[in-house]
Amino acid sequence: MSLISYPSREINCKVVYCGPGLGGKTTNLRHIYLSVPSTRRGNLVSLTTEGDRTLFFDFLPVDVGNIGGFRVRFHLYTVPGQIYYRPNRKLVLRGADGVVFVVDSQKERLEASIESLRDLNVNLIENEIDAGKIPLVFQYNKRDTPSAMNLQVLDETLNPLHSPSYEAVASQGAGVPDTLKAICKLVVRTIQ
Amino acid sequence: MAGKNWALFEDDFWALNDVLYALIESSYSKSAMLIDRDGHLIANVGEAPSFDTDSFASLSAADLAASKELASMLGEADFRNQAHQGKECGIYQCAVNEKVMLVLLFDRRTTLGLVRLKTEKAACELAKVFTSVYTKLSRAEGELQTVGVGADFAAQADQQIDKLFGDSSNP
Repeated sequence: MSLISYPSREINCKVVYCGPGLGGKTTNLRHIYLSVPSTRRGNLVSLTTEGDRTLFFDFLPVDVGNIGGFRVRFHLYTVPGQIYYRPNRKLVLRGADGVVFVVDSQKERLEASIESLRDLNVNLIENEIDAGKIPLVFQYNKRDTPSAMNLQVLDETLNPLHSPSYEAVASQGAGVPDTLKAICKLVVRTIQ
Repeated sequence: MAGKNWALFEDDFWALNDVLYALIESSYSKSAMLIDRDGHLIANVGEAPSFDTDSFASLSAADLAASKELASMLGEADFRNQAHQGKECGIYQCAVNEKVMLVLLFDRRTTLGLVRLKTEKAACELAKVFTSVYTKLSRAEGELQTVGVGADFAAQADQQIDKLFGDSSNP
């Protein structure tokens, strides 16, 4: 839920990156952190395990600037992808204004993406978020891998409602800005 | 809209700030923050913190959310408050209502007992202000969408978003 503060003329929105473990969610945020000017973003906070896997979330605040007299900020979060961190995912998804679902395009990871999508829907329902209405963008990541699946097949399997989708190689930054721009624009439309 | 957005107006903002200022003074604390449970900073009064307040707000919200889940595992509805104390400073967090939490930063000028006592009292006062905020919001529902956020808001936003992320795609 966006918070609109009229006294400070600020609007804060929350975008959560979801998807299977090792799919590239944290890599997306790291690229955004490195590519956005330091004056327009805060610190990248990562709550990780000793093995550098996301334990609770990554967090990056980004200041989009002045829009119609309001300072608009996006708070970007990732969730841990591993199945047994489901309670943590539910907490992070609370109050989300938009979701980016990062798919691992590799054939052997398709089942993990399907399971993760199912888990996302359950978590949205439990957070009383309408899964059919929340802005959602798909990112088909790891397009440079040998077993990357056909885009049409991925879309038919994971994205039957035809939410906007983007190809990406997040490790090189490809597709990361397009995905971010798409979700931010969709979220802004829910404020108007 | 996926969930209901909510807004804070001038009068309520200053009413909240008054309570926060009184709390800092009476508890001899450094600063007080109001944070919504989704991790957004609502208000911050007292000594200007030297850290990133957005990160602090998101971590505090996560901290309280995690403790609420732990409470429910023990059959409790909620742990309404929690404290973290270091050698020089500490944090006291307490729920104001289902949506908002109060966080107090304190140092060795005060004691945890005093902080707890004053914070709980302030949380009750803040809860009353928020009840009035929510009543006002439910009355103004529908009108809110047009207050201050103009018709060309989305077009302006698109331009700004393209400018920021488009220009920065190749570091």
